[in-house]
Amino acid sequence: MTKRQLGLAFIALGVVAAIGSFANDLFGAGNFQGIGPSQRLALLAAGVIVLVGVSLLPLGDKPA
Amino acid sequence: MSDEFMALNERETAVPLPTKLAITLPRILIGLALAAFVGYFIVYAIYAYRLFQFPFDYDQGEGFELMDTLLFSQGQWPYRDNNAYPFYSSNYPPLFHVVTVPLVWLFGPHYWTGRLVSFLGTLITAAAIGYAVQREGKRWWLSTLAGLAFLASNYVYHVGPLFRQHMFMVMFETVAVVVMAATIAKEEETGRRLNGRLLLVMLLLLAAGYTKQLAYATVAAVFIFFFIRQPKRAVLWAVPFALVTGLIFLWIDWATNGMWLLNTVTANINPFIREQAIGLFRQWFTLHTILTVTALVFAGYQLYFERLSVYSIWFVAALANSVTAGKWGAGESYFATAVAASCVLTGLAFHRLLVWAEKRDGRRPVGWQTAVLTAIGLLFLIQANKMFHMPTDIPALRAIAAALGKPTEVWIAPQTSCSAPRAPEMIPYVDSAGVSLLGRPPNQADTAAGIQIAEFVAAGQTAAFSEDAGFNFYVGRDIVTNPTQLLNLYNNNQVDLTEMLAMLNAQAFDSVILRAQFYPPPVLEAIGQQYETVDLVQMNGFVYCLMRPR
Repeated sequence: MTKRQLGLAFIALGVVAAIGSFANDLFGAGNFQGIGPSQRLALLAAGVIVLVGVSLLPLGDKPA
Repeated sequence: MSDEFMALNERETAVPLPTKLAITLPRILIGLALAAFVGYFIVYAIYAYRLFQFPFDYDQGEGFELMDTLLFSQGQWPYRDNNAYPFYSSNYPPLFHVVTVPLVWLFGPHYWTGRLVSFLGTLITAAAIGYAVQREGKRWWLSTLAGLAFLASNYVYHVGPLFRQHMFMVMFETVAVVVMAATIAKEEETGRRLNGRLLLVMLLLLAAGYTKQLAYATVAAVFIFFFIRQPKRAVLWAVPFALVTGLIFLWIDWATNGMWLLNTVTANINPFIREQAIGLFRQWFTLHTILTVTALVFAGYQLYFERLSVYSIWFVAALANSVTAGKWGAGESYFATAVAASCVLTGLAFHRLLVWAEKRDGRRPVGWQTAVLTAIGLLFLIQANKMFHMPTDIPALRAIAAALGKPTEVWIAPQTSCSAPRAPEMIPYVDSAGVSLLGRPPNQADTAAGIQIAEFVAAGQTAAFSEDAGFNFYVGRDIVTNPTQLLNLYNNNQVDLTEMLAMLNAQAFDSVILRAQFYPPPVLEAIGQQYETVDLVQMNGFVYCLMRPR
């Protein structure tokens, strides 16, 4: 696996995590209207994962 | 002696005094760091020894793990129907208890059996960490410091010698990851496939998962690493691994009529307490700052500048999984895997720094190598200071704490739930983790208090309805229900309390022992209506309410 592929995997993981943080709402769980404090943390973490993924893309075909 | 010290020795003969001093300084600092961590190991051994001698629950839940072991020793499953007397079931996988069974066969159902197994598990983990660092670094002092740093962690110290399965899981996880790293390195070096060793890794991962469910993060970390290095082969191994794991799961569930799934999965879906998770993350970082920062920096370096090691992936996965420490019923021990991974990464990072310094220095008597060695010694000493914990009821340890400028006692109010609050008392135990009821070795007064409660149970004719299993064990009575498991099931609408409430309402138990009132509300209500407190006994910093029928 290359660093670029790893970066793409990170981006995909971050996007899934961001979507997943809203899954609770879809199932009617959670005590907050809008984005709750735990969701905010999860979204922040997902954003960091995406950014790490993007930063790996320029490393190209170097082995991961 | 390690290479860098030998090199420093050779240069020492013809150098001026200031240079000699500069060469001696890192040796002194690393010697002090070794002394500090060996000291922590002695403290850990003292705590473990005193726990082995204590015949009651030190941590709530230990007795129920002893009960699981006892049931396995009798050829029975501990995954049972909670709706019928004795309303007991386990919520943990079986391996730790099964491993402890021979000791129970030989010596009977004693608390020291599982405490010893768990303690030995932590020693194996430390040895595996030391081996991982030694395999790459070949510096005995660095490998020793990395291994001992794990045992010196406040969290490992607190729970390592308890009759709890968590640290035994960490042992399997650590050994699995270390064997995986060695296997892939050997394969890449020789070009030969070592399927036998990979099979061993899979068995160790399976053992970790069937010791405690939390091992899934380590399983994921190992397969992610495997996939990054050899995608096709990783998938080929993942399929049978998942199949075997699933088949064992289905077999146990079939053998227990569905009680396995109910008690180990459904009953473990607990509410997430965000503040608890944040508080534990803060505490973990404060206590393990040097190990954590070094591990994070090294993992980041590997991510961008070289190939990712299994240790870096393991550390990140374990760290992410530590979020589950915020679940009700979870706690600090959920960070133990991240601590183990950070110890390995710290040792490897320091080794790499030393190699880099060695190359930079050439024949210079004092240079980068001296600076790096000095920094490593200092950093380990800072880490040792951050983790400070010491029982001070032993004069020598009290003197050491005082000499280090640490407090020699703390004042903590006993934990009450079913009785009036009490004034703070002097506790001869100091811990950087803050106020902690774990870590203080139990004393003779605690044992006497436990015996007093057991005699209270013995004065009745029946088993006690007790939050701790130890008192019924001590007098040879049935172990009746597991309060936290009962509460989990109740919160998930998975238990029928009819028979239990009928027995309580009929005052079928001659005694009730409360410690933290973990029972579901209807059970506490029935106890309140049918029983009254007749005595209060304090043990291990908790006030137990001893109740008789009204």
